[in-house]
Amino acid sequence: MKLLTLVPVFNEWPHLLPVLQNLRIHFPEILVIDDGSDDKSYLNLLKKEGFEYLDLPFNLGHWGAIQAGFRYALAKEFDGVITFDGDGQHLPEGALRIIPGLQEGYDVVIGKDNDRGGWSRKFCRGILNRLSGLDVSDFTSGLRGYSRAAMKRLIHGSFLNLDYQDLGVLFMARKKGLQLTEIPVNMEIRKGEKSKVFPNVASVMRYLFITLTFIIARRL
Amino acid sequence: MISYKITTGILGAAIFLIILLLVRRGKLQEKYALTWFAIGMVVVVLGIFPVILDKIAKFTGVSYAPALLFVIAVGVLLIQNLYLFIFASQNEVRIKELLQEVAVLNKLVAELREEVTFGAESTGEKRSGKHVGLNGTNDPVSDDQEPGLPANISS
Repeated sequence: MKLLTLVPVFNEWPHLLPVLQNLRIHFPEILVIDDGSDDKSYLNLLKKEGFEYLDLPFNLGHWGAIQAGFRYALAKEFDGVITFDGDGQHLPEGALRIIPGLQEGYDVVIGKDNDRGGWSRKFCRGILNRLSGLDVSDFTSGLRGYSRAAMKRLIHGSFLNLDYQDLGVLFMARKKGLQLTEIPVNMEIRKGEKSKVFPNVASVMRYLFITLTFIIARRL
Repeated sequence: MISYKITTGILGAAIFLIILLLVRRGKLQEKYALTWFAIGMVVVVLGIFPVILDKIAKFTGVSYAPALLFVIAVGVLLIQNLYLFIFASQNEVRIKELLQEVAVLNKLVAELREEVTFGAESTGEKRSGKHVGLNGTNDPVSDDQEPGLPANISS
């Protein structure tokens, strides 16, 4: 099975190279996707180190960057991709555990870490999970595997409206008849820095609002 | 004191003129001028024949006719505004898709170029400046990269 590992990067240079070098031990095919970072000079360094990258001229958001990776993987005829965060939160060992799921024929394989996040996050996750009717416990996990069939579906139409690689993607994927599964993995606690997606309370509120609107509009 | 008909007439004419000017300068496409001409038309017609408004107010049971005018005006603006939001959402999706495609194509072109340069010529040939970036210039920033690489779009 020919797999490509997608690493979307937006302004998180310091830990990236060691993470990538660690990842390369297990995954020879890596594609870094620069999601319109302010300083792109690190791409030259990646090139020197022999890493492939995709250069987005401006910021599309996490999910938009991953979709670009899908398009590349489809063009290069990969059988599937694994999405991997470049901030050191995900471990290559976790990514390895995604592979069997894809081999078994699942379209979307989610690496779940239920210990992740504080009580407020777990609380929100529980409520959103209940409301959406989606039986996925860790839908914010960025460590996922996608089959070729899933990628073909997930780059079109309403999937372009989504901002985050989370509940929305899974909800719509299930609606399209794709097979989802969850696999427990261990994740590292972020190295002393805050989440890129949720740097402050306002961004969390915004996320909750967007996700709630999404669910309500589709479940009514 | 001038007649209110002149005031509204000027107002309506101003709307028409501004729209025409914007279309002429290419700031507004012809197809979007239509609704604005319609709004200008309504201003002119209601300005010259305010009786129409009174009649509509009586028919709809609104006792104070100007209030009806405001309700209609706000309603029309709301609909237009909503339309703009829909338009913006659509455009965002299109831009996103295009950007993703462009990034992937850029990458594939770069890979092909690299294949060609590695397959064909020596390093001296590669430095000769025959290979130009996608934007048609030999970007000095990309000097330390393979010449076959497309120039960075954002730089």
